Amino acid sequence: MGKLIQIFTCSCGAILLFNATAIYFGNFWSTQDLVSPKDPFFQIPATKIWCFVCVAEVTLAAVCFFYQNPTLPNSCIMIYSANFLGLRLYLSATGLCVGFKGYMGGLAAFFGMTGSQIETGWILECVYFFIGACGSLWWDRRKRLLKGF
Amino acid sequence: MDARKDFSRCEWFNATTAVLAGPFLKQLKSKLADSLNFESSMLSNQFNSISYRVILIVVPPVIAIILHALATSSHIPHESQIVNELGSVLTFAGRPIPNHAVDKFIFLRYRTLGTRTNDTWAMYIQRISDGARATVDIFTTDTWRESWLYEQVRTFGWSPDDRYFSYCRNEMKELVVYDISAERLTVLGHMNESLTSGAWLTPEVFACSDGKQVITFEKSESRWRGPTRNFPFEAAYGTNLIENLQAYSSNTLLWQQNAAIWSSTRNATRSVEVWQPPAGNQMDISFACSMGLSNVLILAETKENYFLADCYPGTAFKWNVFSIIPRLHPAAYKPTLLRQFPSGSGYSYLNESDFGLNYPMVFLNRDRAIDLPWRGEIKSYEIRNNQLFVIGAISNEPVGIWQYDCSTKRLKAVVSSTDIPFHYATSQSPICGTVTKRSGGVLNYYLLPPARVKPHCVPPLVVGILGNKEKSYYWDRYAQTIVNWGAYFVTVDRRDSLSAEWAEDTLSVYYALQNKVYFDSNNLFLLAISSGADAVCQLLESEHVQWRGAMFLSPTTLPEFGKLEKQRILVDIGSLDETWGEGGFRAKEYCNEAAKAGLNVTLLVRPGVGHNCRLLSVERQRLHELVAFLDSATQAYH
Repeated sequence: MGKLIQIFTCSCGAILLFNATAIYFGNFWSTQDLVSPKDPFFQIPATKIWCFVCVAEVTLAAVCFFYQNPTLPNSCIMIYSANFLGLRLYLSATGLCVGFKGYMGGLAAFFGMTGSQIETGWILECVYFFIGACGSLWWDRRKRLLKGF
Repeated sequence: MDARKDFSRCEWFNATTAVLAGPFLKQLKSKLADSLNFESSMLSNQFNSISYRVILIVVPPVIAIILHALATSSHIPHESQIVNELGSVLTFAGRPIPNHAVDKFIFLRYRTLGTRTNDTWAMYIQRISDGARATVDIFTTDTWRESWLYEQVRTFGWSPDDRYFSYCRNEMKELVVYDISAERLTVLGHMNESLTSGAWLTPEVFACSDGKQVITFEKSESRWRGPTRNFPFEAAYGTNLIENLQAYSSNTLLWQQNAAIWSSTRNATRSVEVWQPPAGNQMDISFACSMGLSNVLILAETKENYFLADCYPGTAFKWNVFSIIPRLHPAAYKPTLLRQFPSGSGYSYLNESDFGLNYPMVFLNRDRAIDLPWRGEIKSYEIRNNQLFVIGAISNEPVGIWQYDCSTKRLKAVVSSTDIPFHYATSQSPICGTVTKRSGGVLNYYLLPPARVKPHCVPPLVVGILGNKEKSYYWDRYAQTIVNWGAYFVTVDRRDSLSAEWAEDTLSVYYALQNKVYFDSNNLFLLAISSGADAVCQLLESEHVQWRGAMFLSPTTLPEFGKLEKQRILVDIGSLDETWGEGGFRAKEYCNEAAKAGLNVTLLVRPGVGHNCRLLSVERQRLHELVAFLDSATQAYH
């Protein structure tokens, strides 16, 4: 099971790097005259939010690849995905905005997809991260308990 | 401890198997169990090795880039070069004006220095033999629209000895003479009214009129003196302005006031009416004369037709009609820019069409017009000593200046309109069509077929509703970029329509095209420029047609979110556009609200640019964005 967790952690790292690359090229290689919409919470341009997400993803990917103990990477992945899923649910519940798709234009254009398709992909990815990270943490905890910690 | 671990694993798998029975899951279970017990496997070693992690770090970005490349693989080849080529097209204005010796000519062309603020129109002089060119004057502007230049500059022509060239600038109130040999501009005077016409009487005497009076400037002792009023004229009032001033001889001027031709001789007591339409005949006229010839050529427009006639000022024999040109539909050809050759029998005029496809008619004698090689767009022309200079296109390239020898039939390109020669882009000629409006009446439209079609793709259709000053078709770089990208482009002739009817007229044309042209009805786009945005919003918000997206360039309005579904929107404005507030504030608010509503609005705000801006550098960026938008919107569909 330890190897499965290792595979999961590495897959998360790979997916995060994949995302970070797409965010980088999709958002920061566009023309300087492009105005990105501001997020509904902090009124920060979406490009800056994506910049933050990009840095976070690269950092998280490095943790996934190079940290020996799976607890920290999986905890980070869980928190990271829970944030997005929670935010998405909150946005739907409050009606503040209809989701992320209005802010994912650069990413959608990078892959030649619609905003809805990219948002669905993003949510599925977060679900994968969340379930996998929760499962890994649960297994890790169970293993520690069995070991007598 | 190991035994406990193995036991727990077996227990877990047994429980799983009990729930999920079946041969496949059993097989999966055994494989999984094997892998779990494979403590010293290669896999374990690989995960721990640095090289494996390096591969994991490198591969995902590469895959992302490969996927991006796959997504963009359906783009037309050389897309960027095509846009750059079309974005480098510099428009001409007015007509090329050759000198009397036909070894030099002057022309007006838009020029760009490649920045946002330094684009200008320029007047150039070019030697025909070797193409050497010099700048005569520069007119700073923020628009490449010709209409701006026509409100500012008017050219009068060369002096009889080809030493000077005269024109007026600054709303046509500042009279300027350019000394060819000294390459120096001399301002002759500042007028209160715009000059309407001017003519050289001798190499040292230039006469001009502001519509109300005739004034002259004379050069004596190497200085220009004036204005003087040596030529008597009839008092001008209302619309009875002095127009089309021409030199009949070295001391006689001709001009027209309303439908009559007047003559005035230096230091005479009064001007003389030399020709007027027969009593009871309503007609508009223009005339052409050439120094040394006794006759004056008159082009008259009546309700029924146009006719050409010779008039002989100062003789009892008043006029002789020698050619009658039938009058066709108002949008069809109409003769303008009449010229008379110094030989006496030859003449020419421009068959001007509202459609923009003008065609010069050249008659070396009175019998018949000679065949000319042009088949493409022709904007204007000038003829001197059987040498025809045309701003036009031979086929479907952008217009340039061509020289055609009417005697030897030799054709030569003298000025190109592009900084970058066309290797990949083409300039498509419009097809003019007519449909009947829903409400009755005739509607003209201009359809540009795609220059290339992507493999296995049906061309999309882009419907353009351009600005208030572009109600008909003329060479348009947006339209040309769209057809070079691989879509049909159609625009409706809106000259006879009210702005409230534009959306309905466009729908009428769209329905007519459905039966005539094979386009992809799932990939329909709208292009709005300036005031065309209102009609485009109406079309987007209506449920008659499912539009895939809309492109708004310097729009006056934007569509409501509530009525949009999945349409992609591109908005490109200037930061100084007052419609959208300071720095495009209102457009940014719109973009924020659209993102909240889940709409993908691409907003571009060009700094330092106003509503009417058509700076070439900004235009080129807009063309790139237009193509990227169309690529992205159609990919997302496919």
